Amino acid sequence: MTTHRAHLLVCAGTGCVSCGAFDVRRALEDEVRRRGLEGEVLVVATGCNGFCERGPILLVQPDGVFYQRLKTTDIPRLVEEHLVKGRPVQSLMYVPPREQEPVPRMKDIEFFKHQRLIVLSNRGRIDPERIDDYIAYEGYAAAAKALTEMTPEAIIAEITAAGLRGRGGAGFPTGRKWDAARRAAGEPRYLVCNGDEGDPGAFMDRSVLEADPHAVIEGMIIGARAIGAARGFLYIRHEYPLAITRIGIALDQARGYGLLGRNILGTGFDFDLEIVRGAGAFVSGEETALLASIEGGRAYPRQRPPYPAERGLWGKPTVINNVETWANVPHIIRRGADWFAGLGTATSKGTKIFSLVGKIANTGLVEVPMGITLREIVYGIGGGVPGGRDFKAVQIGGPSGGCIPKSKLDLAVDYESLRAAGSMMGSGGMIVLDEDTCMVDIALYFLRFAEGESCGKCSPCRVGTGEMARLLAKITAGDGAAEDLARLESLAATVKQGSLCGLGQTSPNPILTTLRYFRDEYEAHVFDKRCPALVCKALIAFAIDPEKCVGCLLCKKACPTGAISGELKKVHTIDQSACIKCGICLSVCPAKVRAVRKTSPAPAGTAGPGPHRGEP
Amino acid sequence: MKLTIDGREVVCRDGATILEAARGAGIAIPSLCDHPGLEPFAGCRICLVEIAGRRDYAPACATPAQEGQSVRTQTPEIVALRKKILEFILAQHPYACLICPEKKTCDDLKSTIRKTGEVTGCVLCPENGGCELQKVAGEVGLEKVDLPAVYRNLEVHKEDPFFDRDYNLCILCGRCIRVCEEVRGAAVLSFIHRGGSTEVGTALGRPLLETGCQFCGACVDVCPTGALVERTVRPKRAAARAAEIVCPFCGQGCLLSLGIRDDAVIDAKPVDAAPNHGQACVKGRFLVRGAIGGEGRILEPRVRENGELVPAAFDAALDRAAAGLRTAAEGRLALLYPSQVSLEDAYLFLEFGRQVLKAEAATAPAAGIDAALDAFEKKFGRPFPAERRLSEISSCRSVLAWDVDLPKDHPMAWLEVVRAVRGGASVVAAGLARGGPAGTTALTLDIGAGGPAAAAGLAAALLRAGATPAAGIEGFIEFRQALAEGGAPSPGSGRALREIAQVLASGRPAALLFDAAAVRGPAGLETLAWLLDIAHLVGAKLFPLARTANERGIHALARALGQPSSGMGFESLWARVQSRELEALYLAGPAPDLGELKPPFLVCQDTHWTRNAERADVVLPAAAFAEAGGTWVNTEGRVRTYQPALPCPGTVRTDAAILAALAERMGHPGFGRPDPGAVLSEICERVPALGGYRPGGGTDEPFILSEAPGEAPRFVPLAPPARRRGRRPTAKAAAAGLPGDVLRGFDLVAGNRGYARLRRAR
Repeated sequence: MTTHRAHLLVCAGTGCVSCGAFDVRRALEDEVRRRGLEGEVLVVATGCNGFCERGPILLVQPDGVFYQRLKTTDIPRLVEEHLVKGRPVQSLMYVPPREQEPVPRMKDIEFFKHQRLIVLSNRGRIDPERIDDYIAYEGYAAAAKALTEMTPEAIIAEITAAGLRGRGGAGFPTGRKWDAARRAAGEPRYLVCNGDEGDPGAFMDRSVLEADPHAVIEGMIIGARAIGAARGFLYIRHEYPLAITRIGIALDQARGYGLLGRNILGTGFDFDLEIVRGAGAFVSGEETALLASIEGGRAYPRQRPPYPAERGLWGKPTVINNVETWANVPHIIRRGADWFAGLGTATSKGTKIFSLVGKIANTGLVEVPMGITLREIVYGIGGGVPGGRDFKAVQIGGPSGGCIPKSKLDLAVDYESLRAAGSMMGSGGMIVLDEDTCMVDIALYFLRFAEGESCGKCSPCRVGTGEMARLLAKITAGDGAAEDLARLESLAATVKQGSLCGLGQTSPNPILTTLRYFRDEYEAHVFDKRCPALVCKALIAFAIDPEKCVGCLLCKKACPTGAISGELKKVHTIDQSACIKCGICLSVCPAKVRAVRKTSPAPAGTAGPGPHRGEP
Repeated sequence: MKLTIDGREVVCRDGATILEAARGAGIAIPSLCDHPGLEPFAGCRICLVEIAGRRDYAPACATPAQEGQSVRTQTPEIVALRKKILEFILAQHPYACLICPEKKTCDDLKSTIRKTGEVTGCVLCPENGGCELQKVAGEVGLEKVDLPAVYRNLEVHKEDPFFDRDYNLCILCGRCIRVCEEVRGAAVLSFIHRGGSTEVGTALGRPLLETGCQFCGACVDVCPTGALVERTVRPKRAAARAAEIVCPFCGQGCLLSLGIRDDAVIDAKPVDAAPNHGQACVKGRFLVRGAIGGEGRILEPRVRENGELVPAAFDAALDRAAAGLRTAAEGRLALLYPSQVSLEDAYLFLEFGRQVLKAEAATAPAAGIDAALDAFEKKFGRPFPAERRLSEISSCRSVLAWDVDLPKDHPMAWLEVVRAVRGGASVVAAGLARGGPAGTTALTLDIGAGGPAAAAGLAAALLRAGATPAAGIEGFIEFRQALAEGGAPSPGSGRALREIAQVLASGRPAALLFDAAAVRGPAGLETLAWLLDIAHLVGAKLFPLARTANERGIHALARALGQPSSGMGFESLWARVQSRELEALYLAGPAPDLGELKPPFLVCQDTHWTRNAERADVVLPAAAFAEAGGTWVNTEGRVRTYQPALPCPGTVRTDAAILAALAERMGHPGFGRPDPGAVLSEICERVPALGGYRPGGGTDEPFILSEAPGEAPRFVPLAPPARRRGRRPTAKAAAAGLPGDVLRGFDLVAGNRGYARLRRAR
């Protein structure tokens, strides 16, 4: 076996790939070859490192030096300096916000420093398309242990003792689910991996599937042994082509090594997995809808109970867990329940992956222990809000979740605390909102999403989400009436209590949490016809401060409707009746001048706002 | 199982839903998407109830009742929630009339009807009371809808026969979709689009005619709104009364409820009782009205004067008929009586022929299944072991449909097959059988030209695949020997046959379904014997199916009276027509067009005009089935008597009345009896199979035509027939000689444009 003195680990998650990671890898390989370093330096494409905002990313090992935002043109210099001359390239390193000095090593970067990697432990260090890499890091040791040393009961007991709960959002204890399926009458039994991640801004599962597909497969082998299943399905949304490719490669390799198929590891245990591509509806991620989709039907949820553990695929006992849940399983079996239960809070054990997006300096994917505070995530790992703006709230849990305000930044994140705050863990989407975000507008965004993704089966969700969205749109358009808030609350209650599945039942959460924490913003829209965040077009206007305007003509030239009048070196004015509120004047006004400003409420006589986003 | 609902202790069967438990105890829970016989859907959310210890509200329709459970259905919270949810449903449905405080008086005043009708076309509302949404709106107590009304402005589907689909009135309860898939095995409907744009539709929005729809009307019957409505009913007012009849269009003998107003049939709906349990087929559901009140009906007697058929008084027409029949020389007169009539009428026709005409009497050319079974018994010396009860099909683990188009010709047997498949049975479709229920895979067996060669081939394949008969069936060794010596030809490919043999041999008991089409012709008895042997090999029950209404009853009647039945007499009668030796023919049933063969004197007694009637010398207008009433026997042997549902139109008289009047004129006063009940009693005395039948007596236990008890099962050893090279006859050729789509003079295809379109599309 050849030993290399340096490994160049190119991040090949979807984020980095879309920024050109494969070009960077090719450039690295070319350069290494050109300099005759093939025997000394190895280029490896790894799974997602999570720091997606900085892609393409390169980690040089064993030095631990972290390069970011690479271009192919940087590569010859990088190879020359770092690998030939031994001088890491400072200009390609990460510089924290509001600082000047680069941080050379990955482990010193704030974004990585506070994370606790279990599920993502193989990210950025193995080639997900090589099973040997996975095995080198103790891969499939847990499966071997489960198949050769443990009884199904012992496996379930271990998972139960570890306190693992479903990472798909609802947090149902995994051990209990497995136990129910094991005890349920009916043969054969099935396993399903729910990889139909659909929350806006969430990409945890995609990243796990791309970075460490074997961990999911190994978790499912262990689960199959525990409940006595011979067949399992990986339901992955069609929009994740890279994940599907890598899972496909991993399945082939696992079969080739005798880890899937007949007589696994010579134990006489049979189990195999197949991939089912999601059909492109958000509701397909709801477990009963997902099962209907695998069966070849329309992804319609059905009433529970009976739960899938009793009557799932084709009416047989079925365990369905989320990608991240499955990926936790090998770690628990290998390292023991006590180790896992030692992490996290009293009710929520282990770690959770969040996708940190929105108005945040360090956008990306983070794995943190349960019980970490929101403040640590947003400021410690995320680097706070960029652009000198103020933090306002964080939206957790996607369309089913809610907005947690600044006052709750010290909330220790676990299933119970988030639910008490009106949100939910969801699959782990975390959207940071700054002061320029209108909370009514955010609620409208999520309700529009829920309305569009409602499957249409039950009347509360089908009609109620649309009606809530209509009322929110009315409020953002400045047409809200005093009784609309009460109507919203009444509609929300009906939809929550009346809907068939989790999608409908939780769809009012974005409204309920924003009404709970930001009622003043709703009232400002309704009573003062004012959008405090200056977002809702119907309620804002653009004005030129005569004190500051230097008469540079820039805004006048840029205005698409000719609403701005004025001469050189003379104060300009905006004709409100002609203004369409496109905001170009504000963006072209020089930073030194800053004469154009947004105001709310809009003065009388303002022209219509034009179509609001999302409106027909 | 015991549970508490609204403080009352309720007992229900294991596995019942809370909704079923509550309804069984007389506790009303409003619901919309639920329907008996369909899988729970839980989509409308109107039946939400509170269960002690459960965090959320549960839909009663989809929640199994549990021992000791405490359920509350009418808490103030639930009542309020139901109203809110119904508001959501009504936001997309015209609701003005549903919650109008004046709706009760509306029918008298007609003050508000237009406001719904004008906007949406739902003129059923609020008039006919068939709208379940209206009922639920009342139960839920909704007084106002606090949401903006949305009219979806969807185009009304009017392209298909029989019914329109106006999805503007649809509340997406999914009943139509479920009944089509779960009960009818057709699955031509589905939800399309999603969210607020969700609709019910067909694949690619095609017309139903292009989707495989059989137009059974089950979707129309389960629709709780005016979205699916029979087209001819739309402008009609509600029926004033209902009357039950036995459907005369095929051998299944479905019970239909006729909706009647002003002595006209408005619609025909399936009755929720055996044998059809709330289901019908296109003929029963949509063609009854036309068969009684449609075009082409003979409404007055006519006689031929100077070459022209002219209206005549009934007595004059009868006089002419009697005179003409009397003049025919002995032996030069024949009676062709209709087979699709009640036992009473058939009996009177037979007796009229024997006593009054003293002439040969035969029925229309209908090769009945019982005639074939009789011939089998005669030839092989033992009765054919037939299973007649359709309900036995659903518990079979595999189904072999042998050269029989079940959905079209035996719709209720087909529904039992659908039920069997939903229970896990596999289907093998041979010949005319088109396959299994939609969405399931059926094995198809190519039987080439059909007949004994094909059946022998399957038997040989089963033997090769290792099928062994159950212990105690005699004659297996001889059977095997005879087969081996002949070197049986095998239909289809070896692999497919092996698979079929595997399915039938492992799915015990199998159901082997066939009808007269499979066993007619000179080699029919041989085919029948092979089918028997196949059944013995795989442990199958044999289901011979009767194709025409009352076929089995009239067969039993004719046999008891010593008359040839089921077409066997027809051939000799027709030969005499062709040799022109008849001087007079009394034609009361369907017959081939006489053309130039018309005898010198022809009396036609029929319900509808036919080519033969147009050639007749005297035309006598006969009552249609629902106007005559009487006793009918279905394929199962189930005997039913119903009273006339309608008076005869115009000067039409019943066959019984016409026969009595003719008999009187021909020197037999007092022929027949004034009371149909007395006729029936006489029949029951003379027909052993009907011994002890009393109409209306013991409706819980249906009266079944009795049959000779079966003997110990035994193989019939046969030498396999030589392999015949030949192509399968076309569907038209295969159907020749079988009862077609006619009911006496009513030609279903010519008489109904929609039905004609359906038959063309299939």
